[in-house]
Amino acid sequence: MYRFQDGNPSYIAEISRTAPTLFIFLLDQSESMEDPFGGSGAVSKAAFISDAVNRVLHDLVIRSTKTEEVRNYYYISVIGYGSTVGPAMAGPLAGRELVSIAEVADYPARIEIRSKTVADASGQTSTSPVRFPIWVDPKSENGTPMCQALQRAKDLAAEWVSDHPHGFPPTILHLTDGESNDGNPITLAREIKALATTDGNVLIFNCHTSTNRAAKVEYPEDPSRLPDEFARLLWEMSSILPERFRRTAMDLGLTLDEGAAGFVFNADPSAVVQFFEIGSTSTARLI
Amino acid sequence: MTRASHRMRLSWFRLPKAGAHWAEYEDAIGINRAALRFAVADGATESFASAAWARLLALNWVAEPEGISPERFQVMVGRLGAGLHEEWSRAELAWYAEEKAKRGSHAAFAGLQLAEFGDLLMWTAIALGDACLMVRNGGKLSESFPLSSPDQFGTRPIMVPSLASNQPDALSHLAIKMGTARPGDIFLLMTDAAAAWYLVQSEMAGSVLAEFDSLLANRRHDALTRLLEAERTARRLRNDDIAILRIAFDEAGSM
Repeated sequence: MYRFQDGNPSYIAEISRTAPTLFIFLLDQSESMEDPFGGSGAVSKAAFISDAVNRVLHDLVIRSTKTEEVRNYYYISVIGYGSTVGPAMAGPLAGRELVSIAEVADYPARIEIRSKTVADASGQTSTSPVRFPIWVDPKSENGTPMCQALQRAKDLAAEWVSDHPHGFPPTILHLTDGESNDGNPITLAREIKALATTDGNVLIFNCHTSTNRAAKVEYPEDPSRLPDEFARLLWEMSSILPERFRRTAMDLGLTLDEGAAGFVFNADPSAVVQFFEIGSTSTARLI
Repeated sequence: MTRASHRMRLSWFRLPKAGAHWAEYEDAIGINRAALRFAVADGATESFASAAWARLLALNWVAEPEGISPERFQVMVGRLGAGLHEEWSRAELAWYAEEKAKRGSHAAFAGLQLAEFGDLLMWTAIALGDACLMVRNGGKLSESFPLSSPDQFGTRPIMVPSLASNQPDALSHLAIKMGTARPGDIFLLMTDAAAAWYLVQSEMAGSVLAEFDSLLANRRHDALTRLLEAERTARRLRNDDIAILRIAFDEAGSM
C-alpha cells in the first residue's frame, strides 16, 4: 500500500535490483558553456559540470557496490545538447542512451589519477593520489536545443514509468546556462512532471549556471523572488522538492521552506555540487 | 555445562528483506550455549562486505572468554577489522570494490552475557547501533536496550566500524547495561527492523506479540514468516533483514 498525504505522492518506494530507479542527467553543451563561472577562473563551466557529473556517477557506483559486485539499483542516462542532442558518455558506453550502474562501474572511458587533499586528526593536510573515473568529457558547441533534449528525457521517463509502474520515479537533473533556442520548453516540462508511478511523479530539477556575478537563488518556493522571466520559466519547469530531498538540502545547511522548488538560478560551483548532491543522494536510504 | 544452560530454551529466526535473496542477507546471530553468550549483528547495507563483518562480530564475540568490557570489545574489533582489511588488501579488486573496501564495513551489534551467581542469573548487555536486547516477562516488556522508543530508529546510528581509524570515536559510544533476571524473563536479541516493530507492538492493545512469541518459541518458522510478511505488507514492519534470538528458561527450580 502506498501512503499519499494530502493527495501528494510519497516517494517512499524501495529501490532494489527488482525495482531500480532512473537518473537522467540533461547537460547543456552549448558554446557558452566554454565560459568560466562568474566571469573568472580558469575552469570552464563545461569542464566543471562534467567533473561534477563524473563525481556523481562515481558515488552512485560506490553506493551500489556490495562486496565485489555492483548491484543494479540505478539506471543512468546522460543526454547532452549543443551541436547535437543525444547520449553524452564517452568510451565504451558512447552512444548508449540508458545503461545500468554496473555497466557504468565496469566501463568508464578512462581512469585519471588526481590528487586529493586530506587532513589528519591534528589538522595537518597532505595530498594523496586518487583514481578519478571519467565517463563524461566537457563539450561546448553551438546553440541550446533544450526542447529536443527535454523530448528525449520525456521519452525515456515515459518508457521507464511504463516498465516500472510501482517504483521510485525517474529523477531528471538538468543543467543549463541559457535560454532554449528551439522553442518554449514549458509544455515539455509539464508533460514530464505529469508522468508518474504509484510512488510519485517524475522529478525534474533545474540548475542554471551563470557567467555573470549575479546573486544565486537556491530552491525558491516563491517565483516572485526571481529576477526575470527566464528564471521564472525554469522555476515553473521544476518539481517541488519532495520531503526527503528537502531534508537532504537542509542537512547540507540550506534553509528551505515547504514548497521549495528543485531549482537553482545563477549557481556558482558550490551550488552545482550541492544540486547534484541533493538530486542524487536523497534516495540513498531507500536501498 | 551450567545449570542455567540445562534449563535454557533457545530459538531463533532469520528472514531476508522481501525481494532479496538469502545471499544478500546481512544480519548474523552468534550463540555460545555453554558460555551463555549470545549476539546479533546487522551489517550496514551501504558499506562494503557488511554481511561478512556482521558474521565476524557475532561469531567471534560469543567465542570470547566470559565477561564484558568496552576495552575487550575494542581489542576484539581492532583485531577482526585489521584481519578483514588485510584480506581485502591482498585481493585483486575492481576500482570500485577497492575504493569501497577502503571505507570499511559497519555493523550494529548487540551482545548478551548471562552469568550465574548462586541462585541468581545476572545479565550484561553490550551494544552499539540499533540492534537491541528486549527483556519480556509475563507479557510485559521490562527492558529495551540500547534503544527504548520506536522514535529512536530510522536515523543513522553509530555502528561498529571495521576501519581502525574510525574505531576510537565510534566505540566510545558503546553502551553497557546489567541486570538481574527474574523468573519468567525472556531475552530477545533483535536487529533493528524487528526491534522497532516489537517496541511499537508492545505499546499496542491487541498486538500480535503473544502469537509472535508462541511461534518463535515453538520454532514455527513458516507461520512466523507469514506473520512478519503480513506485517511488512501492512507497513508496520520495515522491509529489512531480520534476525531474532530468543533465550528463555524452564520454570523448574529457581533462577
